[in-house]
Amino acid sequence: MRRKLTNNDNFLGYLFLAPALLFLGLLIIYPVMSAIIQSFYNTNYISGSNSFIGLDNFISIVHDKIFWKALYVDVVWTVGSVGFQLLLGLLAASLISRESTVNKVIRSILLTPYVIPIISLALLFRWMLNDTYGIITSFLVRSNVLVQGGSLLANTKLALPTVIAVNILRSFPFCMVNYLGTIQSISQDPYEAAMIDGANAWQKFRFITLPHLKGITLSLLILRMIFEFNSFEMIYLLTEGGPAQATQHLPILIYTESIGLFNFGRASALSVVMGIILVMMITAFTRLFSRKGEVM
Amino acid sequence: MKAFSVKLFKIAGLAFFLGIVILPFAWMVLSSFTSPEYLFSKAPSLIPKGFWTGWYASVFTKSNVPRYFMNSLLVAATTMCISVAVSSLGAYSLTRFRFRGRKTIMYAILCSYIFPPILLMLPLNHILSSVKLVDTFPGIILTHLTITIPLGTWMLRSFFAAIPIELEEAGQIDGLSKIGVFLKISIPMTAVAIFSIGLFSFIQSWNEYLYSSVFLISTERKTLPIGIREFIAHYDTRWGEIMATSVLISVPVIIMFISIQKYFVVGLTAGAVKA
Repeated sequence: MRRKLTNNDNFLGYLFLAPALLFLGLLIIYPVMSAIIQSFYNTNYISGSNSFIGLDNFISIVHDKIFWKALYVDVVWTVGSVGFQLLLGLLAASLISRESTVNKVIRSILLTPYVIPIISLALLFRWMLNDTYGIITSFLVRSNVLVQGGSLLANTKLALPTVIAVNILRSFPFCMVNYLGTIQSISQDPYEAAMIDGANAWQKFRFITLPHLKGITLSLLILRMIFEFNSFEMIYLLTEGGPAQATQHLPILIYTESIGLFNFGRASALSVVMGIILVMMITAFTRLFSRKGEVM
Repeated sequence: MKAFSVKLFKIAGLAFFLGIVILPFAWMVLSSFTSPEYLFSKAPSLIPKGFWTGWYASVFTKSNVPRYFMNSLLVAATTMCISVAVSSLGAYSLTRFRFRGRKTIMYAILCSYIFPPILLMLPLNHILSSVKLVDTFPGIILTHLTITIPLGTWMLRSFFAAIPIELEEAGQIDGLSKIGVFLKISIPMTAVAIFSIGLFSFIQSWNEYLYSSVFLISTERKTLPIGIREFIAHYDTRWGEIMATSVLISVPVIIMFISIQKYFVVGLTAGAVKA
C-alpha cells in the first residue's frame, strides 16, 4: 500500500502542490472573496460604520466624476505605455538580435531599468525633474520649453506624458527580451533565400521577421495591458496622482480611498470594478494561449 | 551606399537606446558623489565635480539605512528560500505528474501571477490584521510570497520540462521511487536554474514597494525601498542621501542580475510565452 501511494500520480501531484495551493488559497483566493463581500458594506475605519448597503457603493462610484476621470487617465496611461513599450522593445531587439559578445553586453545594459527597484528609478527622475536643481528641468528652461521654477511633474498637462515616458523606459526591456527570444528562434533559411534574391535589410525585416512576431506581439499586448492598467508604483512614486489629480488613475484612486480616507467598503467596490475589467482581460489572455496550445 | 545607411541607422538606434538608459544612471552615480555646493546648483552639468563621499558617509553613520539594509536582506532571503522550496515542488508536480485538476491549477497559478497587488492590498490587510501580522517580518514575507510563488512556479515549469524524460525513467528502473527521482535526479539537474529563479524571487522581494509601504510601520522593520522615503520632507528633501541610497539599493540587484542573466531572461520571457 505504501509503495503504491508514493508512486500514485494523483496523490503525489497534490502532495507536491499542497504548499503552493495552501499559500495561494490563503493569501489570494480567500482574501479576494472577502474583498468582494466587503464591497457591499459601507466599512469605514474612522467613522466606525460597517453595515450592509447592497449595491450603494457601486452606484455612488458610477455617479462619481472622479472615477470616470481616473478611468480615462488609466486608459491613456495604459495605451501610451504599452504602445511605445512594444515599439521600442521591438526596435531594440532587432538592433541587437545578432548573437555576439557586444550585443550581449548591450542587452544587459538595456535591461537595467527593468531590474532595479522602481523607487530608485522614480526618485532619480524626480531629482532630474526637480523644479530648482533638476538637470532635465534646467535643460528645458534653457531651451524655453519651461519657465524658471516650473517642472514637468507639476504641470497638469505635461505630468501624464512625463510619467508615461518614464514608465516606457522602465518596461521596454521586458518587451525587448521577449521579442529577442522570438527573433532568434526564426530559422535562417528564408533570410539566406532573400539575400540571394537581393532583398534589402528593410524588406527582410518587413516580409520575414515581422510576420513571425504576430503571436508574441499579441501576447505582449494583452499581458502588458493587464500589468500597466493595474500598476500602482510608478505613478504614485513620481506624482502621487497629482498635480490636481492629473495623473490619478484607478489604482491610485483605490489607494487614496483606502489608505488615505479609510473608506474600505468603497475602495473594495472600486477594486471589484477593476477586478471585473481584469477578468475580461485575463479571459482574452488565456483564450489566446489555449487556442494556440502554448500554455499546456 | 545602402549598406552604409543601414549601418548608420543601426548605430544611431543603439546610441539612442544606450543614451536613454545610461545617462540617467550616470547622473544618479554622479550626483551621489557630488558635494552640496555643486549638487544644488541651478545650472547642473554632466561634467563631474570631483569625488566627494560625504553623502555615503552620512547615509552610513547618520541614518537608519544600515538597519533597513539588514531588514531588506532578511525579508528577501527568507522569501527566496520559502519561495524556491514551494515553487519547485509545485512546478515539478505540474510538469511530471498526471492528475485530475492539473489544468485548472495551472490556470489558477497563471491568473495569480497576473493578479495585481493593488487589488490584493485591501484583502491582505484584512487577513494580516486579523492574525496580528501587520508590521511584522512574517507578515511582510507572506505578502511577498504572493508575488514570488506564482511566478516562480510558472518559470520553473519550463526548466523541469527540459529534463529528458528518459533519464527519469532510467532512475525508476534502477529502483528509485518517484520522490527519489525528484530528489536525486531532477533537483540536481536543474539546480542552477532553481538557484537563479530563487535569486529572481530575492530581487522581486528586495524591490517590492506597495505592500511594504502599507504593512511596515515601525522603523525597526522597514525595508530599504520604504526607508529611503525618510529623506523626503516637504521643505528639506535630502537629494544627496537619496541618490547615494539609490545607488546602494540598485548595485546588489544589478550584480545579481548580471550573474544569473541567462536564466533571468528565460524567466522573463516565460511570463509572456512558453520558453
